[in-house]
Amino acid sequence: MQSSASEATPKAVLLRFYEAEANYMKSFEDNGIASFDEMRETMAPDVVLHQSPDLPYGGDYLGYEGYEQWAVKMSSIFDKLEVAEREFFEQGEKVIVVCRFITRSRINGSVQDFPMAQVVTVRNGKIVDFRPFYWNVPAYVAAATR
Amino acid sequence: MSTQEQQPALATLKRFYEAETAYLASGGGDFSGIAATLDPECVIYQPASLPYGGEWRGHSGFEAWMKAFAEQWSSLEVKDSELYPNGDVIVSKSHVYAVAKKTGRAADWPLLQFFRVRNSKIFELWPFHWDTATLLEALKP
Repeated sequence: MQSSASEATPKAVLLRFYEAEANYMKSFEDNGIASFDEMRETMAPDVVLHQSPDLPYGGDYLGYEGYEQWAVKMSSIFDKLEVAEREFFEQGEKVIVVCRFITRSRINGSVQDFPMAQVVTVRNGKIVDFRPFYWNVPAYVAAATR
Repeated sequence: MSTQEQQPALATLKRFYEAETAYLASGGGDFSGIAATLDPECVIYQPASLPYGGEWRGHSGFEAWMKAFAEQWSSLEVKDSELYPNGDVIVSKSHVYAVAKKTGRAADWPLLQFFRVRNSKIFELWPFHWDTATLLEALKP
């Protein structure tokens, strides 16, 4: 039996988000088109994604529209995004995930393979805040440089 | 049962923090208190772009890293600390306030630290700084 959205733990909500994200990316790869609806289901309308200011896609992205704008920017810079070796740390309304984040630059072909940590805040069964910590921001600046 | 009994890595981290505070308060002479909380094969990883970037191994490596860090930053304050334990790992979430020694510029940044514990000693430490480019800017003469 599935628990209702309001009972789901932050980790459970984040896992649903990851599943939706994987489906989105697969659909895009297979068909060149994908629906954002499943991902939207896991996030609150006022979700905020904070990106370190010096990243090529730095700044805060607000709401579903902001999230989609960020996703478009990411895919204009990277043609490969892979997350491996995830470890989860959960407390209260937050879940921290530490992983290996592998990206390949669409612009210059360079590969970035670094650890990454992300704080995700969940309220009422929906993600309200993402704050990813990149290991080394200058490496991502170089990835976006021709 | 207390949280520390449920999560033994927390007790290790607490001992490490106490030793670090004592070391810093005394001006950094005697490293033995901190060394007692570290696995002999401990490694601290730092992003390559920072002046103290790279891997610092063992007790002597850890001490050398602390000295390299202290050459860059003064008035270090860590606030809003939250701990996220899971088995032999703890992630610490906090906010750091510091002044770059050479430029006098103040900087503050959110920090996540990933500690792995082995045999009740700190074994691995990975600090995730919010934006290493911002840190470099503060340090740049």
